[in-house]
Amino acid sequence: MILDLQTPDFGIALPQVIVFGLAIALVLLDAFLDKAKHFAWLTGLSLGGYAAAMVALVGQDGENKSTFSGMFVADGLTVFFSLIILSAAVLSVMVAASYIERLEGRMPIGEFYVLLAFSVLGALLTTSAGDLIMVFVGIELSSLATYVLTAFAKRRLSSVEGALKYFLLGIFASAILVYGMAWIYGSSGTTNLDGISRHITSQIGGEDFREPSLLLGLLLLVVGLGFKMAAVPFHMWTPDAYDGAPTPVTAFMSVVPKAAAFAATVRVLVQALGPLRDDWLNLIAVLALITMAFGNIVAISQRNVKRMLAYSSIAHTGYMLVGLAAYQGGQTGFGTGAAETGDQGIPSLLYYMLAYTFMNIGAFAVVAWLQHRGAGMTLDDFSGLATTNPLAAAAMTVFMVSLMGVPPLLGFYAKYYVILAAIDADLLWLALSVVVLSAVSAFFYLRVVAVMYFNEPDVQPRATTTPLLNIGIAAMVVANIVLGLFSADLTDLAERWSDPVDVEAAVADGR
Amino acid sequence: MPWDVIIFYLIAAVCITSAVGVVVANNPVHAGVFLVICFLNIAATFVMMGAEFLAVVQVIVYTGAILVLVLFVLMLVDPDDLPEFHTARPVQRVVGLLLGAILLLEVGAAILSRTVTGARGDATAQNIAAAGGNTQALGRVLYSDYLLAFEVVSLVLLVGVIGAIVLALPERLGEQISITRRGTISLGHPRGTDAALPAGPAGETPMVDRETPSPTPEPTTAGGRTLIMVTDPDERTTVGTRP
Amino acid sequence: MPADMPLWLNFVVAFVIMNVLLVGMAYMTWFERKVMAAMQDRMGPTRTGPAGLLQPIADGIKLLGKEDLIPAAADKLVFFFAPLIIFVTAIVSVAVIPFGGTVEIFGADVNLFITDLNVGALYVLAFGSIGVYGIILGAYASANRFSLLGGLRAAAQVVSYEIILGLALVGVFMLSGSLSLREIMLTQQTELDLGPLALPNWFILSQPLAFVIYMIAAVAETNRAPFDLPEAETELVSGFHTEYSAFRFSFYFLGEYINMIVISLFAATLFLGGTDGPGSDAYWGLGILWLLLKTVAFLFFYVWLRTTLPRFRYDQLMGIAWKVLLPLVLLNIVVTAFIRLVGNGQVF
Repeated sequence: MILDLQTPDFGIALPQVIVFGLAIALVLLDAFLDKAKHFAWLTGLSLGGYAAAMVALVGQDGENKSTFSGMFVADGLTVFFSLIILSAAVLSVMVAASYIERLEGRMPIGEFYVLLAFSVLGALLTTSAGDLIMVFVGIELSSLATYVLTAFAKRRLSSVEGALKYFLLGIFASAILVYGMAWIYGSSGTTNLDGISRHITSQIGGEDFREPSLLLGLLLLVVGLGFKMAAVPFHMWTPDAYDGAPTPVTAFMSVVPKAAAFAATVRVLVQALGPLRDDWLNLIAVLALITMAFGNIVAISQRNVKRMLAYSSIAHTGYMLVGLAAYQGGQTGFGTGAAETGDQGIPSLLYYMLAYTFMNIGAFAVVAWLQHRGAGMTLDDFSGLATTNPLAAAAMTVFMVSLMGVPPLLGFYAKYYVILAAIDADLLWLALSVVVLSAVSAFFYLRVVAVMYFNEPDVQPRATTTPLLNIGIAAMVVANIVLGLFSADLTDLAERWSDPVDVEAAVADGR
Repeated sequence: MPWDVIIFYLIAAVCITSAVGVVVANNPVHAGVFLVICFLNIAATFVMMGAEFLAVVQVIVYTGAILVLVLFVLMLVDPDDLPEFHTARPVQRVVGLLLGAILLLEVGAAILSRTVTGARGDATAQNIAAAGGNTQALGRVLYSDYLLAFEVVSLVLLVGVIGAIVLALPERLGEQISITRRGTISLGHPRGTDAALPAGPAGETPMVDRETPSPTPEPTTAGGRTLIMVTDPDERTTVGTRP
Repeated sequence: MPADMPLWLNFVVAFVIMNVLLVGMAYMTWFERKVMAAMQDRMGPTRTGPAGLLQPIADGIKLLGKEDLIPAAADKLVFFFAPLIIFVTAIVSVAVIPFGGTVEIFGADVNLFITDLNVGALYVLAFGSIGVYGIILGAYASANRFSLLGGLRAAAQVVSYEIILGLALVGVFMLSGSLSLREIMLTQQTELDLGPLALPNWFILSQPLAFVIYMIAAVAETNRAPFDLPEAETELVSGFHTEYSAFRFSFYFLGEYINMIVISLFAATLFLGGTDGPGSDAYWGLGILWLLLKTVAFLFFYVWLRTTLPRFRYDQLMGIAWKVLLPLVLLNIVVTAFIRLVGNGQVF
C-alpha cells in the first residue's frame, strides 16, 4: 500500500523556510569556504538572510492560513512575533560580529552564526505552532542552540558555569512543560491547539468549572513556560547565564528565547486553554506582580551592569505578563475572533516585546562596545564615558531612559499600552504597581547615566573600530526615538494577532 | 483478575520500585542500572498496550544506546568523590520530599477525580490492521500528520551534534593543531589555572590579546618537575625537567 | 498464516530450539578449534573421544570444577548478575528466528518458530543492545582497571556498530516491507525473474552492499576478532572478564558463542533466504538443514577472520564505523529508496 502524501504549502511558511535555508547554507559555507573569507561572507549572509525573511513576512501578513496538517499556522501572532525575532536576530548579528571575531580568545564565527540561525528558526517555529508538539519542539530547538551559545566563551569559567545552570534548569523546565502537555493531551485527546480549545469548551459544564486534571496540566505548563521566560520564582538561572554568556549572546538570549516563550504562552494559554481563562488569569497576574517587584528591587543592588540588566530583563518579563493578565478575549480563544471583544492585553504584550527588543539589545550592545575598548562591565567601567566618548554615553542614556519608560521614547509607549490594558481589564492594582515599580527602576537605570556623566574617567579607552556595532547601536537609538511615534501602526498590526485562521484553507490541507 | 492485569501490576511495581531506586541509590552506577530496569519495564508496558514498535525502539534507543553512554560516564566517576547528595543539606532534602509528595498528591487527586475525557482518536484496532500493522500505522502518521514536527526534531539533533562539537573541541577549530602540540600538555586551560589568569574587572575578563606577547611566566615546581604555566591558553607548556 | 498452537506445544518447540542451540554452542568451540588448527597446520583436540568430539564436554566439566573467585573490591551483586545478562539476552534472541513454516508432526500442526513478532528483526537488535550491559557491568563490578578499560571500549564499540547494523538492515526492510523475520524470509522464497535467468530472490543479491556492511558490523557487535578490542589480551590481560572464573566465566563464554550463532542465523534469514534451498518446499527437514548449512558457513567465516586478520587499533575501529561504514550505509538506504520509488512508478 502506497502512502498518499500531501505536499505542504511552503509558500505561507516562506520566512521560516528562508531562515532554514540560511542555517543550512551557513553550515556548508563554514565547512567549505576559505577561512580568510569567513567573517565577511558569513556575516553578510546572515544579515541578508534575516532581512530576506523579514521581507517575506509581508507575504505572510493577513494570510491566516495553516498547513502541514495544522501543525504550522501563519496568522497575525506569527507575523508580529516573527517581526520581533527577526529584528532581534539582525541586531544580534550586528552586535556579535566583531565581538566573536576579536574578544574572548576568538570564537569560531561560523558555528556561532549557525547556532544563532537555528535558535532563530526554533523561535519562529514556536510562534507559528498550531500544535502542542510544535510548541515544544520549537522551544527546544531554540533553547538547545542558546545553551551552546551561552557556553561559547568556553575558556572562561563563568561562561561554562552559566551555561550549565541554564542547561540543567532549562531541561528541567522542558520536562515539566512536556508533562503538562501530556496532561492536556490526556484530557482532550488532541494536540491541536484549536482542537483542545473546542474540546474543553464542549466539556465545560456549569459556572464554577474546576477540572483537577486540566488545572494540574495548566499549572505545569505555566511553571515550564515561566522558566523559559524567566518569571519569578523560576528565574534562578537568569543572572548567572546572562552574566556568564558572551555579551552579544546575552543580548540575543534576553530577547529571542523570551519571545519564543511568550509566543508559546499565548499559543498555549490563550489559544488552547482560552476556555480556562478564569483559572489562569489570576495566576498570571500574581506572577506578574512578584516578577516585576523582585526584578526591580534586586537590580538596585547590582554593580555589574550585565547582572543589573539581567534583573531588569526579569522585571520587563513582569511588565509583559501584566499584558497577558489583562487578556479579556472570548471564551473560545482564537476560533471566534477575540479581537471583536476589544481585548487590549495581548496587543500590549506584543508591542511591549517589540519595544523591549530595541531597548535591551541596545543596552547590551553598549556594554559590548565598551568591552571592545578594553573595559569590563561594572558600573565603574562606565564612569566618565560622557567625557571620553559622548556619543556612546548618549546612546546608553537613550536605552536606559527608554527601559525606564520616560515619555518621548519607545519604552514609554510600551508601558503606556500595558497600563492601559490593565486598567481596561479592571486590574487597577496591577496598573498601579507597574507605575510604582517603574519609579523604583529609575534608581538603577539613572545610576548608570549619572556615573557616565558625573564621574571622572578612570582610564582612557583603547582605540579600535567596530563599524557594524556602531551602525547597530545607531539604528537602535533611532528606533527607540522614532518607533514610538509610529506606535499606532504597530498596535494596529499587533491587534490583528487573533484574526481567525482561514478554516477552508485548513480543510483543503486535509486537516 | 485476568492475567494481563496481574502482569501489568507486576510490571508497574517493578518499574516504580526501580525508579525509586534510581533516586535513593548511593552508587551512581547502581542508579544507572535501576534506570535500565525502569526503562525495560516501560518497554514492557508498551508491549502490553500493543505498541511493539515503540517498545523495541525504547529498548534500542534508550537502554541500548543512551544509557550505555550514561553508564560509560558514570563508571569513570569515583563514587567516593561525589558531593554528598543525601547527607548534606537536610533542609533541601525535606523541602524536596515535601514538594514531591505534594505533586504526587495532586497527580493522584487529578487522576481520581477527573471528569473530562479526551476524544478518542482514530487509531482503532481495525484501522491499525488496515494499515498493515502497528509499525506501518505509526509510520503513516509520522510522515503525514506529524511531518513538520518530525523534521524539526531532526534539526534539534543536528543542533545537538554541532553544539557538542563546538564545546568539546579543545582548540579553535582547525587552527594551530600542529606538530608542536604532540608530547606537550597545555596547562593554560582556565579550568586548571583560573587563579593564574590576569585579574581583570570582575565578571567578564577579555582574554589576553593574541598580538601582544604574554609576560614570561614564573616557573613553578611540582613533584620535582618544572612546570611553566602560561596565562594565554593558546600557548603551550612543556612538561619536563629544565636545566 | 502461522497455526494456532496449544501453549504446551509452543513450549516444546522453544525447549527443543534452546537445547539445540546450547549443544550447537558447545560444538561451535570444537568447530572453531578444529578449523583454526587446520588453518595453522595443527591437529587441534584429538585425545577426548574420536577426533576430540568430547572436548566441549570435558571443558564444561573442567570449568564447573574450578574455584569461583570474587575480588575483594568487587561490587558483589552486579558481579553476580552481569554474566547472566549476556547469556540470557543471547539465548532469547533466537525466539523470533523462523526454522520453517507450519508443518504437521504426529498429526499436530507445529510452527517451526517460537513466535512471529511483527517487529522481529528489531527484537533481535534490541536484545543485542541489552547484551552489552553484561560486558560493561561485569567490567565495572570487577574493580579492575583492565576490565574497566575493556568495558569502556565495549560500550563505545557496540553503540557505534549497532547504528551501522541497524541501518544496514533498513534496505532489507524496504524491499520486504516488513519487520517480521518470517515475512522477510517468505519474500525471499519467491523467484527473481530476470528473463532467461531465474535467481532466488535472496537479499544478498539485491542488497550486496548492505550484506557486506552487515557482516562487518556483526563481527564488531559480537566483539570477535579483528574487532575484539574489549578483550584484547595483549593490552588488557583479557579485558572485561579478567576477574571472572569458573562457571561465571563460562556464562560469558556461552553468551559470546550463542551470540555468534544467533547473528549468523539472523544473517542467513535476512540475506540468504533462510530455509530456502533445493527441496526445501517438499521436505521441511531439508529446509532446516539448508538454514543450518548457511549458518555454519557464516560461523566458518568468523573463525576464518580470527585466524587471518590482526586486531584493529582503537581509533581505526571508530574511524571505520563513523567515517566509512556510516556514509556507505546511508548511501545504500537512499539508493534503495529511490529504486523502490521508481519501481512503484512514483518517480518518472
